[in-house]
Order: sequence, then C-alpha cells, then structure tokens
Amino acid sequence: MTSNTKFMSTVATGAAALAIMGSVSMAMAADYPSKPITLVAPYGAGGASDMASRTMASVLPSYLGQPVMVVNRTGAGGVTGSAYVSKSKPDGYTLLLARIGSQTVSPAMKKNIPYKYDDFTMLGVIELNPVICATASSKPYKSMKEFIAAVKANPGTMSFSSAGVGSMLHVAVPLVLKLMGVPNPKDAMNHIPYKGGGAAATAAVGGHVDLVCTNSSALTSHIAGGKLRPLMITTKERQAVAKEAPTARELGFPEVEVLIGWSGIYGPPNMDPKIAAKIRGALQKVKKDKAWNKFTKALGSVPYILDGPSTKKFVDDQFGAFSTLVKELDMIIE
Amino acid sequence: MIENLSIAFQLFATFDNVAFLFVGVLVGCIVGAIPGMTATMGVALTLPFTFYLPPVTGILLLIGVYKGGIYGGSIPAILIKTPGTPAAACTVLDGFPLAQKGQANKALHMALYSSCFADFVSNIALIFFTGFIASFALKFGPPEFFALILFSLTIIAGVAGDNLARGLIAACFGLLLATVGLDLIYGTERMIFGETELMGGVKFIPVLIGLFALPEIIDHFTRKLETHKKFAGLGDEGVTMAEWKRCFKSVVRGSFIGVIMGAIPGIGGAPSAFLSYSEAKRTSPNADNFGKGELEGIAAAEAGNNGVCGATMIPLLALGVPGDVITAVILGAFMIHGLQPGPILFEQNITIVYAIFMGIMLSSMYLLVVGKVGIRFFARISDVPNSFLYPIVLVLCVFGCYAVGNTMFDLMVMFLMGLIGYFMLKFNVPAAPFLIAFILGPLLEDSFRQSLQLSRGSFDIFLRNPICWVFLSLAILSVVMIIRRNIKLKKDKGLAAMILE
Repeated sequence: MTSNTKFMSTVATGAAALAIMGSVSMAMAADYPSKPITLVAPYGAGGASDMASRTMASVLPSYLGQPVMVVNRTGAGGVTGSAYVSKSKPDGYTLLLARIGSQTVSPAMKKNIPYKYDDFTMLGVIELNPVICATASSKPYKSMKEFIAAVKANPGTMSFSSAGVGSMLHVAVPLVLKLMGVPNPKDAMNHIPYKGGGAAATAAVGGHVDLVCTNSSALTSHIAGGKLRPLMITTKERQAVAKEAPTARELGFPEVEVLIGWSGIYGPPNMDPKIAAKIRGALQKVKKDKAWNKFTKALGSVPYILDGPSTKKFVDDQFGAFSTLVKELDMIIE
Repeated sequence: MIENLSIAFQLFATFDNVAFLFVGVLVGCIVGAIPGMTATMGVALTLPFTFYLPPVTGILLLIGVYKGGIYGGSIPAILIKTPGTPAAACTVLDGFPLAQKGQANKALHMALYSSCFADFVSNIALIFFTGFIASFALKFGPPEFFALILFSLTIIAGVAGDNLARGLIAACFGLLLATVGLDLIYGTERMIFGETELMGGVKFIPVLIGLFALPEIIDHFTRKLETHKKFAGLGDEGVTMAEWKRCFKSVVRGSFIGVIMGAIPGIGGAPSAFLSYSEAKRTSPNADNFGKGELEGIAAAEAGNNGVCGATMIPLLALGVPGDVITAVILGAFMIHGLQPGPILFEQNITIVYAIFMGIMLSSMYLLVVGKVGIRFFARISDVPNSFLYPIVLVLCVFGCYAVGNTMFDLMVMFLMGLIGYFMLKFNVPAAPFLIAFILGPLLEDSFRQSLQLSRGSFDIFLRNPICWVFLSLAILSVVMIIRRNIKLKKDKGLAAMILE
C-alpha cells in the first residue's frame, strides 16, 4: 500500500465515521429524548433552587416523554454544578437549573470561575423570586427609611447576612445602600457570610444580623410568624406573601428592581437547535400546567416562563446591570 | 384541645397514612443500609412522590424515610465497618469490633433499641417542649456556636484510643483537609490547585467511606491467604436485661445530647453521636474497653444520632427554620402543600400538627418492628466469608460514592483516602479523630470568623453571654481533665515498668 492510498483510506474511514456520527446526531435530534434526562441542581437539597428543579422535574416528563432526574452537584455557591454542565456534552441529556446567583452574580463578581455567564444554551427562564429585605421584629427599624438613616448614622457597625461570597444576597445589600444614597456602600455595613440562604435567613430571624435581602420564599414563613419585619420588596407590585412590605418603586427607588431572583433551564453551550427547540416547546406547555403553577406559587415564586429570545435578553440585561454595579461598588474578586 | 385532637385523629387514622409511614420507614432503613446512599438522598428522592399525596400522608412518608435512614446506617457500620450514613460513623468504633468477635447480633440489637429509645425521647421533646427549645436554639449566633463546637472538639481525646498524641496528629490532618475550598469570608481559593471540583471543598461521603471501609478491604487482600479471617458468624445472643440496664444511663444521656444538638440548626447527627460517645466513655467504668467492642459505645452513639431525628423538627415546626438538610427538604414538602411551618402553622393548622405528631410516635414503633425483622435479614451478611463479601462491599462503596455527586472525582478522593486510611491502620493512627476534625473544622472556622466579622475584630464577643461562658468553661474543664488523666496514665505505666524491673 502506498502512502497515498493509505492517506485516502484514512480519509475515507474518517469521512465514514463523520457520516455515521452525523447521522447519529441527526437521529439523536429526531429521537430526542430517547433516555432519561439529568437536571443538575447546583445548590443543596431543600433550598429554593432544589425545590424549583424538583417541581419542574415532576411535570416535565409529561411533555418530553422521558423521566427527568434531579441531581444535586453542590459547592462553591453553585459554581461546581454550573461548571460541570457548561463542560458536558450538548446532547440535551444534561441540563442545568440556572439561578441568578450562579449564572449572573457570580460571573459578574468573580474573575476565577471556570465559565462566563453566556457559556450555556439558555433554554428558558421559568420563574421569578421576588427579593424581600427584612429585619428581625425585635430590632427598632420600622421602615426602610429608618433603616437607611441608622446605617448613615452608624457607618460600619450594622451587619447583614448572605449565602456566601458571590451570592445574590452578598451583592444585594451594598446595591440597595448605593441606590439609596448611602456613602461608601461597600463598607457601610458589615458582611457576614453564611453557608446557604437558609442559614442567612435564620441569622436574621435570631437577630444576629440587622438585615437580610433574599428570596421571598425563604422569608415568608418568618414574616407570617411575626419574627421578621419586611422593609421592602423588589417586585413592581406588592405581593400577597408580604402585603405590608412596600415596593422599591413606592419608596422612590425603581432602579432597585434589578434585584430580582430567577430560575431557568440551561444546557451546555452549542446545543443542537432542534433539541433546544424541543425543550423550549415543552417549557411553553409547562407554562399552562396547573400542578406546576400551583407548586411554584406555593413555594412563594412567580411562574414566569420565557421563550428563547426573551430569556437571552432578560439575562443579558441583568448581567449587564450587575457587572456595572459590581464594578462601581469595587466588589470584583480576582 | 380535645376537639382538635379528635379531628387530628380522624385526619391521621387513615389506611394511607399508616401504610405510607410504614413504607417510609422500610425504604429509609434500606437506603440507609446501603453505603453511600444517605438518609438525605433517600428523603430528596422521595420528595416528588409527596407532591401528589395529601399533606399529612406526604410529610409522614418523608419522616418515615428520615428516621429509617438514620437507623439503617448503623447496620453496615456494625457488619462491614462501612457507615451507611454519616451519622453512623461513630457506631463503627465499637460495632465492628463486636461483630469481629462474633457478637454482631448483640450489637445490632443494641443499636436498634437505643435508636428507638432515643427516637422516642426526641419525639416527646418535640411534642411537649417545642416552643421552649426553639427559642433557646435561636439564641445560637456565631459566638455561641463557636463555643459549642470548641467544646465538641475536645471529644477528639475521647476517641483517640490509647495514644493521645497520634489522635491529635490525625485530628490536625483532618482540620487541614477541611480547609480545602473557597474561603468563606473573602472567596479566595485555598489548596484547590486549579481544580473546579475542589472549590466546594473535599466532600464528606468519599472521605468517610475511604477512611473506614477501604482500609479494611485493602488489609484483607494484602494478607496471605492462610491468615484470612474466617467469617466471625452472627452469634445468637441478643441484648440481655443486665446489659441494657448497664448501658441505660448512656442511652438517656445520648438522647438528651441528641435533642439539644438536633434543635440547634446546622449541626446534625454525626457530631451529636460523637459527643454522646465521648461523654459515655468519660463516665463509664468500662472506659478502657471503648473502641475495642464495648456495647455501651454503640448504645451511646446510636442514641446520639437518633436523638437528633425528632429534635431537628423542633425549629422546623416552631420557627420554620430547618435544622439540617433533611428537614430543609421536609420544609419544601410543607410549602408545596401551602403550609407554612412556624407559629402560623400552630394557629391555623393545629390539627395537621397533631396528626403529624401522632404519626411521628407511630414511626418509632415501626422502627422497632422493621429493625427487628431487618436485623434477621441483614445479619446473614455475617455468614458470608470475607473473601466474597469484601468485593461486594467495594462495589457498593464505589456505587454509593459516585451516586452522591455523580462525579469520578469523588471516587478518586475515596480511593486516595482509602490508601491514607490503610497506612493509618498500619501505623496505628486512629481514624475517628481525623473524621471529627474534618466535620467540625469548617463549623469552627466559620463561626470563629463570622464572630470576629460581627465584632470587627474584638475578641470580647466570645464572652458576650452565659451560653458562651458555659461552653467555653466546659471546653477548658475537658482539656484539664484529659491532661490530668494522661499524666496519671503515664505514672501508672511508669510504676508498672518499675515493678516489672
């Protein structure tokens, strides 16, 4: 065999292999899904994102025709699980429950994480989580105005809890302080990081910190039980879960509305458009699913399923806003 | 009250509730008994089924899995030195030596009885003292937490075996391993070496399995064939009344330790079991036998971890604050059904609360029944010769470890820890202090730094209230007693040597 024929045979084999792979991937798109799908929840069991993924996984199979398994891959504030999905095969069998913290705040704040905010196929936002700022009922602050006045009067002495460095809760308070005109907002209050949003909320309930700004779902039972006093909510209208909480808009700070939590479904980058379209189509059907809507509302979230382009715009806008704010606040972690 | 109770009883006494609770306990025991499949995983996997069940039925199903899972972990801990769930790590210390002596049956029964008893005490605490305990638990801020964990660290001395120095060295390595990951306050990387998987720190289950189960297996297969131990056999002795009486004090103490540790959010079953164990050792007349197959050690450890089970529900029901990951999942189940745990639940849905209490009491009884039958079934494992058993255990370990995080990285950690554990075994370095330090290290560091962050660097915060004072004094007292005992031991040994000369 000459080197030429050798070369040709190699090319032929390669071409055949490519053809087979191509037909497989085409067949894959047509058959999709032909086996169970894994939905990676990047935070621990029992948290808001875990609940969002499990409620979604309980209804999605009716519209996709295959079981959806939730797998918690936790660590580093959602970064570990997100990095795993961004590096997975884009075959539609590994999806991510995307969150504001791991998908916009962390990429905006941390230079050292192994993915960019858009290193994913954004399949759809599924729900919004209104953010409530609250203080323990035992604290003297009756309103956001009083609270801000106290912070201004005692710079650096009051404290807030967060779910860890780079979490939404971490950025939320300096952001609110900045938009409400507190000088030197990054250091005006003391940041006390906890491991997870639940622990951060508990710290506020126990009065160990002065303020927490987090998902309403983590706070509603404490508000209803009289342990926490809500000072502000970031939705456009007041919400039934905390009627007494004025909106940021009512307080005269509509810019604070950028602070709204969300969950979405993401896939690895460069997914086959046909597979992505199938998942997006299924999500649009979930939008009308009674059980899912009921579960989501019961968890204190707002059902909010967006199509592909709207999701991209929503996330781009939020990431842009956060990047700017984090830079201005000098909160970037190298 | 009476009217509420009778409505609650009607709500509770349905076939579905009674049946699902039983299924829950059964499933929990099985999941807990498989190495690596933790009670947490069992509860999380059961959760979606509860979406479509009535609230009481669904929540009871989860509670059943929870209680069964925590108990189930003790079975492989005793039989094959592999804790099925982290909370059972302490049960290994005396359970496995007893099984090797051919007294597995006794050990398993002791674990069951003390688990059920502690479970019962925990339930009583939940039903009658919820409000009181919950408000106490909420007082634990970072400085109080720090004092409690510092005191808990002194249990290292209790599980260090004969050589305190080796135990301390092991503990230091445990602390060191616990520092891997992102720094809590600044988010900087610590000993990650560019590996994304390490950002969240070294995971617990791979370390646990690697440290306990693998060294035993490696040790078995590196020995000559002739020296292989034949299976020890189950032994048909149960627990005698005299033995139960002897251990009863430790069971009661362990139950109370479990209740307190369970009610404080964020601690969990493993530290509670170790604390109960070391307290039992400190006060027992058989202290020297601990770690070598002491029945009281199993009793204390199992009472400590099952005592947590009902108590973690205290902050959940009273305040809506979950005490651990499992109760966080149960909180989700409440919310899915439109129920808000906390004072509101007691005002608006008191009948549901009562119905759940009734189910919880029944779950303790189920645990006894399922455990009794289960022991007979699981115990056959002791009849399998080790040469056949260990390969199966190895497969289960690999499977369980992979299932936790779905990553090969965890498997590498497990095997590496297995090798380290093997050398620790060979050089007589105890594994328990390593594990305790690894569990408590992050809690200690986090609470220490949170405290200083709160006080802006002033150490006065650690003395801010009586809770801190009490635990710090206890910690100092423990250290003084440990030193005194060791000096005395040395003197005794010196004396013995002199007499021998």
